[in-house]
Amino acid sequence: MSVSSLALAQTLLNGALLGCLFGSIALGLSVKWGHLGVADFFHLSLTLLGAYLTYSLVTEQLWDPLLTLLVTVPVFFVVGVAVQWLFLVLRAEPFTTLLITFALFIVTESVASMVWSPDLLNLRPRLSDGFTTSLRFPEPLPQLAVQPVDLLALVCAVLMVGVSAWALRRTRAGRAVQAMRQDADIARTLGVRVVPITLAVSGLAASSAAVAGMVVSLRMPLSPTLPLQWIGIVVVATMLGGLGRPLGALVAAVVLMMIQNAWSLWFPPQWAPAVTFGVLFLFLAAQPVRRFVSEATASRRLA
Amino acid sequence: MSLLRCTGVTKRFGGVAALSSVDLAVSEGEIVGLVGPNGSGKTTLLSTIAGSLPVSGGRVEFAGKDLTRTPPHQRAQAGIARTFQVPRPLGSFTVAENVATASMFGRHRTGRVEAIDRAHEVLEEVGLAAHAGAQVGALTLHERKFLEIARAIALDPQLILLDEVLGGLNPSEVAMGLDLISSLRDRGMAVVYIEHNVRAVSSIADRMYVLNQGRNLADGTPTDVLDDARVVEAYLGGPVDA
Amino acid sequence: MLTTSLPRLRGLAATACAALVLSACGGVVDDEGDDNDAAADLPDAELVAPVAGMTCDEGATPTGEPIVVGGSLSLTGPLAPTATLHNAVAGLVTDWVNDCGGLDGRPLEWRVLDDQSTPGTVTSNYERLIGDGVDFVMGPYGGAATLAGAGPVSRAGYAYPTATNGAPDKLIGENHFPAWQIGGGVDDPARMFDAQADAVVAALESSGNPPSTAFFATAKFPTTLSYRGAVVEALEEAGTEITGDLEYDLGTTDFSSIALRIQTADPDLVYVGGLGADITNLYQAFDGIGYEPRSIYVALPAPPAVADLGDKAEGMMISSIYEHHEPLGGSPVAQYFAKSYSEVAEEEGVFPLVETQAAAGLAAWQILLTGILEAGADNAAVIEWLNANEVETVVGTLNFDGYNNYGADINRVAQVQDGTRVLVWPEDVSGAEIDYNP
Repeated sequence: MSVSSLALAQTLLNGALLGCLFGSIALGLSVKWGHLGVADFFHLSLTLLGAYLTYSLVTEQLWDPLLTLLVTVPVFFVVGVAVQWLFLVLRAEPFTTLLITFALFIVTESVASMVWSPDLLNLRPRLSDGFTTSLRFPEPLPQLAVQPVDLLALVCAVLMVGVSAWALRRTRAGRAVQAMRQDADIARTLGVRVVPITLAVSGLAASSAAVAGMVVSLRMPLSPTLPLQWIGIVVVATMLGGLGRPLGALVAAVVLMMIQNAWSLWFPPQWAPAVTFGVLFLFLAAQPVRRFVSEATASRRLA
Repeated sequence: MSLLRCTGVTKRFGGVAALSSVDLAVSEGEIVGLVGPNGSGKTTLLSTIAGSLPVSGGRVEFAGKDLTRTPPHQRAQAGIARTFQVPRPLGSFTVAENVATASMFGRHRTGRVEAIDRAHEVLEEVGLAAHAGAQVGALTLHERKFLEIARAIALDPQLILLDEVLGGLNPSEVAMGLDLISSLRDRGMAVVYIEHNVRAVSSIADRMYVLNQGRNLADGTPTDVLDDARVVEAYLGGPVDA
Repeated sequence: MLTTSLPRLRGLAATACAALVLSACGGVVDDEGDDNDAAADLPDAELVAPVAGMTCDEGATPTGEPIVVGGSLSLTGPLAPTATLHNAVAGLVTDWVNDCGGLDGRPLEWRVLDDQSTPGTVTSNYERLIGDGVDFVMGPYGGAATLAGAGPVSRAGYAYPTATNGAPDKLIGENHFPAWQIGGGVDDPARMFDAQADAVVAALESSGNPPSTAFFATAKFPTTLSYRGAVVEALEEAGTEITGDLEYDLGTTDFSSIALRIQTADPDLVYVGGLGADITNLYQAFDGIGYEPRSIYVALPAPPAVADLGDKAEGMMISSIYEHHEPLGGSPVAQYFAKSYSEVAEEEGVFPLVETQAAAGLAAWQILLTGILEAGADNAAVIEWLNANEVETVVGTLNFDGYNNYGADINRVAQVQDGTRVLVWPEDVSGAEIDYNP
């Protein structure tokens, strides 16, 4: 079928913006996985809980969605600290933490079912037009449209990922986190206070889930099993982006969603999610080659 | 008064005692050599002083304070630095960033930019200035060993614990290393120095301790210790210069 | 292609941010939601016996050994939204029967086990229920679950009433009593979805303006795919040109590429073989590109997803067997059910209006209860009686004569008209004529 270049631009734009949302979710996973060694599936559940909490505050208390962050962000920070504190108390190995977060992931689904019902909850009909009316691009591209919610996703993703990446590279705390990730024992002997930093990182990651959850509640109908739909793209983006690299995860999520959407424009859409895993497979398959090449260059340099 | 005083330090791994009631005292600005056969507990003792291993019994006092239960990062901030026998640089940092990390979180907790400046000074001192921007993976063994020392210096400690920092190096590198260690004493730092190469240690140590099977065997000036019949018997199985 | 200058983009971003900040002062519409209002409009209804041939002895306390009906339902997991609804119906019917003095004076008891949307657990749940000695069983929700439960239930010689078994072609046997007679009137096991497809085409043709082009977008799910296949054939036979036919993965959230492909084809009819929230996400993609489909047919949407679309759902057609209006909705049983269901559903947090799923849920219970009333509390007798007789249910008169016990054809088409779902085909049950002119 023939598709205009404008249609392609539109679908790529939509994909990129949805990728921003997934990149915001991947942020916490990437940071916790990369820097704390915790592959935290519960992070996806927290995002869902953030979405549900936003939904409840908006529909029952008639709060503005953005205002809900004043409550959810600090509450989630405490939850993130508590979960990490539990791991420290248990002296949990990475595998144990994986099991615990996976168990929490399953439990959260049931809890969400009980509290918010397994039925679909949709915030969109309750939102004012400012959130839901598409915005047209100015001339010369008036045919391209973008949803305000997607712009919000973009702004949140860029802010959160930007601040994280900057903090990791440019602040003392960020250097401490990086040192800790590479060798916690060495970091300690260099004076890095590992425990408070670990707790704070986990808390901040959870806070980011509150923000991502707010965007989710505006963007899509909620159901307790929603995290299962995200898990593929978020985990793949986290791995492709490089563990502990929020910017990498965001870029990967954006690119993956653009590829998925472009694929769906010409090829059978049911294979689009498989494309994501195909990209991951190619990436992993390319690793030995990359290592071989870099070792070959290194040995040539030494010789 | 001693800067560091270990009294009756005991460390058990399961039922095995790696250290049995070991005593050690170090004064300010003193180089103390710590020698003993393989498995005598030298590195374990260093770890209990640095705090990376909790003791099973005994006390560790530093600058008049009891640090027995203090976590390692607080000991680092109190002024105890250590190196590792097998260098453990932070692999994704450059050489200068490795050193700067110590400066940032050590005794005087500096800002990020100041720490990098300080790191360059220290690297100059240990002769690694040319490698400041390099990835640690590109360093040779002797450069890695010196990076360990540089990182310890950047903590600005009162006491440096050196674990075989000159092992595996060639004679000219060992000579450079010994000069460097001596210069630490000249700047007022105390040094506890583990080395397999007893001659090297005895050449710069003010005093020496000998451990055997996790116990104090002997201590005193290098000459006294090396002449001690028990040391010759237990540790060397023959005369030192044989 | 993308030559927008940077200042322009900046302007756009600034405008968008400003819009968001401005809307922050009133970002939320204070709206109780249409669905709740609709449920509140339901008239009070009198307690009547839930099945024909039963007298309601209001106030009489049932005595003796309870008649225990066991069932496995997916109270958690992806199937939970609809399975929760069936659990609500089961609880409601149990209370209803007991309020009427019980079944032949004996109390009715409902025992449910959660299968977490896992077919393997459905099998063991029924084994356990039968091992525990339940008197009867009620089928689970979902095609795969129904097949998984059929083994132990049939082996034990129990009657197996089901509400909406989405795998009609997989033979269960003479003990299977489906309320939604998907394959009603079809003889060939390979063509069980033909009855539904014929209903769709007949409904469209009844408008006098059948679509000349159609575009199919179907979720990769057994029931929706089989259904889609039958409709494609039936439409082609009726002279409609199929201009697009694609599948998407379950759980797709971004439909923008699919929406663009639909927009490019701009067909008379968009057929969405979708489940759950697909329709919400698809409309969000339509909104994004400013496209309005000429007409749209949705196979199995979640009721709240349709309700949430508001005005946009106007004219949407939906597969159905029941909507709450005359003539089916006029019976005292339907009235009482609608009223009490809206109360129970609100407690459970599920969609409060009776439509296909809830009605099929009640009908399955009506089949079982009628069998017990007529033949006694014995599975073999109930199976024999039901195979030989017709049952009056809220969705119409059912018999169990055909393949896999699918008898009467009760496949219908509903349309959203003036914000309300109403049956528009066939004429004997419709509440309005189809409004269709793509």
